[in-house]
Amino acid sequence: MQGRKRISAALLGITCVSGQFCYGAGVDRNDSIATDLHEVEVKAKRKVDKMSSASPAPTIDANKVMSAGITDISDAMRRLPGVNLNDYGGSGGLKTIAVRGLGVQHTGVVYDGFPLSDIRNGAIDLSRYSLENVSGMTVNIGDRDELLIPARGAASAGTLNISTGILPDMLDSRPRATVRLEGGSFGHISPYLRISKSNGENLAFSASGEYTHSNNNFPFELKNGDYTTTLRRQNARIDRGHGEINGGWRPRPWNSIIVKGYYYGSNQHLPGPVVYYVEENNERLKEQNAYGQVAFKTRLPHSFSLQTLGKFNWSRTNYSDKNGKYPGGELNQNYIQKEAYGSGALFWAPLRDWSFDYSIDYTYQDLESNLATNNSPYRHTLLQLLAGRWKHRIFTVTAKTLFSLIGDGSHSDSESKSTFRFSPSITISIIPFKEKEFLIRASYKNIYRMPTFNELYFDHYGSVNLKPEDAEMFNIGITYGLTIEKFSLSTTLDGYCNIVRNKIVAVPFNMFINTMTNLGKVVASGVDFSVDSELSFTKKQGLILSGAYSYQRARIRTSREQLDWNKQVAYTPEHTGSVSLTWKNPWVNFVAHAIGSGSRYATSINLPSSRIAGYIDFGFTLYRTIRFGAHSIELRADLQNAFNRQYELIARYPMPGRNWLVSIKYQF
Amino acid sequence: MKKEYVKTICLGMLLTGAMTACEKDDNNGLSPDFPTTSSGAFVLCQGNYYNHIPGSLTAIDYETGQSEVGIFEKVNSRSLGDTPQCIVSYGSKLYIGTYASNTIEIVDRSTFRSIKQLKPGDNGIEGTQPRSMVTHEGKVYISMYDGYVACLDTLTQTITKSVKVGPNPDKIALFQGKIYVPNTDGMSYPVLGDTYSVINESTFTLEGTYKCPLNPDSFYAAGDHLFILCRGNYAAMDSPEYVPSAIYEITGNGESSYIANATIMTASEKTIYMVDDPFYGSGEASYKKYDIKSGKTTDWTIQQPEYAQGLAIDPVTNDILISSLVRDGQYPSFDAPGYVVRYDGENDRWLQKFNVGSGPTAIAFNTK
Repeated sequence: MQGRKRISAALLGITCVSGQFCYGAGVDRNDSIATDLHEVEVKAKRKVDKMSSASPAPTIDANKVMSAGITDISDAMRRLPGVNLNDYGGSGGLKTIAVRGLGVQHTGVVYDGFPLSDIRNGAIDLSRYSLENVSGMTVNIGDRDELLIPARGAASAGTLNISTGILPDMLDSRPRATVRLEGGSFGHISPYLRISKSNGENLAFSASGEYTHSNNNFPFELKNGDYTTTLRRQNARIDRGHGEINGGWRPRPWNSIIVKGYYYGSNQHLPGPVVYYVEENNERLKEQNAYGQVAFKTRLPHSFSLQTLGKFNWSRTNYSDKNGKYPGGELNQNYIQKEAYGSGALFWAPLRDWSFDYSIDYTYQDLESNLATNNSPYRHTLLQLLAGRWKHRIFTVTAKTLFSLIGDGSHSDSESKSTFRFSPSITISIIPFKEKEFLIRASYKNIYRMPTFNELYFDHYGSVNLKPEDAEMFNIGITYGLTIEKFSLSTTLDGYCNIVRNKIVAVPFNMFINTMTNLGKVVASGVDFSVDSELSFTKKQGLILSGAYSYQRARIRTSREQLDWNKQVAYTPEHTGSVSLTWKNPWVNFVAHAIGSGSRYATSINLPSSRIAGYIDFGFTLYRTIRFGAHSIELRADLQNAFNRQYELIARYPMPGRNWLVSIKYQF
Repeated sequence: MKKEYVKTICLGMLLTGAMTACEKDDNNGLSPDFPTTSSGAFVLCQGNYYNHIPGSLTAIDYETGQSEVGIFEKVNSRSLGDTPQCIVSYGSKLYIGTYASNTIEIVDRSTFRSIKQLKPGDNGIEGTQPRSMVTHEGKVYISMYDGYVACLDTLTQTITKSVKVGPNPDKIALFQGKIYVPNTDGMSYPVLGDTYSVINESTFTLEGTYKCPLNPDSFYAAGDHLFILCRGNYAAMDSPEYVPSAIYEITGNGESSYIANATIMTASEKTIYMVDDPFYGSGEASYKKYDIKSGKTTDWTIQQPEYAQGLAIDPVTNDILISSLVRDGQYPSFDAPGYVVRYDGENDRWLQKFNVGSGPTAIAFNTK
């Protein structure tokens, strides 16, 4: 029975990653011994998260951040199988992720249970979010396991779930604080502070703030024909800060309200792409984002659970550039996005083998700009999710259906249009042997992504007639875990095929202007493999080996008449991988790690001159935690890109070479 | 970086020092303004720097029927730069302007060795980001996208002066002692430019700025006539606001008369050659000829290339060169290498096809 129980506990664990107090959420009736789940979660989570998942859900938690020498969220994303990072280089460079050959816009990002959004570009910049706040990150490919989720949580092909776990234990009334100072190459400095307090019963509060400055003027090698010269990135300085306050109230063990207030501000200089013979650049980007959100969860009689969410989000982006070619010598673009979001989800577990969920989400989004072509677009999105799970002996079958009704319009134009989508998905998992950590999974998901406002409305480039981009995802995989005395192993292997239809691509409108159209088709197939293993020599010494490898063949299959027929999608390497080896010891823990990828092309026709070479980036980490009573000091030093390998993930945006990072953290 | 190409340039200067010092003699005593032989052409390709495709230069040889793609980089072991836009062949040299890299490369025409790389704006004379060039009497006039026309002296190989014109000037022409400058105002989009500026060549001062049809792009001088290609407003063809891309003749200061719809053109003294292909992926391109004297437009029946991007007339042979992109499904590819077709100026026969780099954008002739 042990195996089964651990898996159930892990289900709880995953559920609770997205919010601190989510009792009973998505859990079968017979499993809902949810009161003291924290303890169970902590013990069981690491090993069996992967184990329980019926869809691939590679995860990195705070422990792995240390043991694998991970330095930021984009670094974490490069350690996960099936995840492709687009990185414009340096700490200020835009960082977005795509899963398994699907475009960036197919990946949603959920922060503490609430979806983040950018209606203009459809991509979330991960460079904004710091690891210090993060207790766990999971990239759900296809459906999440939980049933009690907002409908938007099922509305993307892939979802990065970031959880901060920022609220303290309500039963522990001691005040807590974390102070951290991080410094590194290229003028990087980042202080962080977090304080939290509970009343020992049913109230908890925390506040955190962080500020980062980086000159980001790292050297890079520019290869120009036979000449290689070392230059520095210019105009790359960045200042950014982020603060949030969180509060939780649990009037009854089964009721909870969690609120969050969030603010982010940045002021950065943009180095732009490397241009031959030009070093100066005057682009600037200022961003502000503020939101407030509230989550209410409760258990109701007759095996019902209810979750409601509400959020209001505001963000402002200001882009400017100075150049004599602009009127008045300066370009100044302002964009303001607003979003109002509400969600209700009802979970019901009437029988031992059956559980159900109905979720309904409404989102209003709009975009204003100071552009002369501003047409004030807006979007209403109504999503309804119906899900059911049947769990019998070794089988678990989960079926979900998402009904989407989306209305797009523009305040400067009376025309509006609506889109309806019906998106089914099913996952099946089998745990054939009770005593063994062995799981077989298969899943199918039909999903779409809406065109972004840039794709729809940006003057000329946009096309209001765009349809959603459709994706179908098939996956089969296994998880295998093994524990023999002092050795433990957990591995996953998945094979997949994703088909994207009506892919939104840019085509030439005339000699000067591109426009967007639903022309493309992509077939992406591949294999993702991951392994986590640990060997303990003594109680205090051991080795941890983690690795991931992905092969992906993402081919354009739009038309045989096209030059890109059967070519690999631009910026999609066929091979990517990562490995880290940790020596844990009582003195200073040591990590050696490497990430790498094969070559890619910047063009969809895979033009040889647009080839971007593959790379391997090695790094080393030393860390030690010194405890005295309830206090601890954590010291950490990283050497990144240790062999100073010059490479790019995006053409003309070099990645930093060898650099160091040190941090000291005091906690009580 | 800078050091390295300075080195190359110095080497280039040593090798070609003899020639640079005697601009007027190196054409067998003939003025470079009036060539008498033509043996090929130079095709400038802008590439696409966001897609990691650098700009390049292709040399075409009529006699062998061969083209050499990327000749500048082969000879100089460094890139021409990003988004080259304009090229002229004058005397023993080529003058190449790159827009994003903001350079002017002065290149020996027979060896392709760079003699000098100028950075417009660096010597205190205003005007950066070259867009187009014309030559006359030892000068190269260059329109600069930040609102200037600069004058490069071919003897001293320096930019000696510039004059402020309207916003975002593009392809200029020299006509009856004056430089005609279309002010595209391309950076104020969706506001479109509707003026052109006139510079007196001898005093190099602005004479005036005049109205013209919407979105002026390029001037063409043809004997006693001056034409302007205006790009219209890029609206959909069935939209009531649609203003097509068209050719107009300048009939006086601020006055013009409509000739025909066209998206690209070139002109000899007698004839305008034009292609109208306003929307890719919908319908066929229309190829027409306009007889300047009679004012008659007729079909230009040639074996058409896939997607004409530029037209040029060899001033000596009257042969016509059309640069083209290759077909990519229903659309042209701006990434794939293009090609140039040479047509017989007498009978419009397809003579030769030459491979060139990605995004052919300007053509100069190897005339002497």
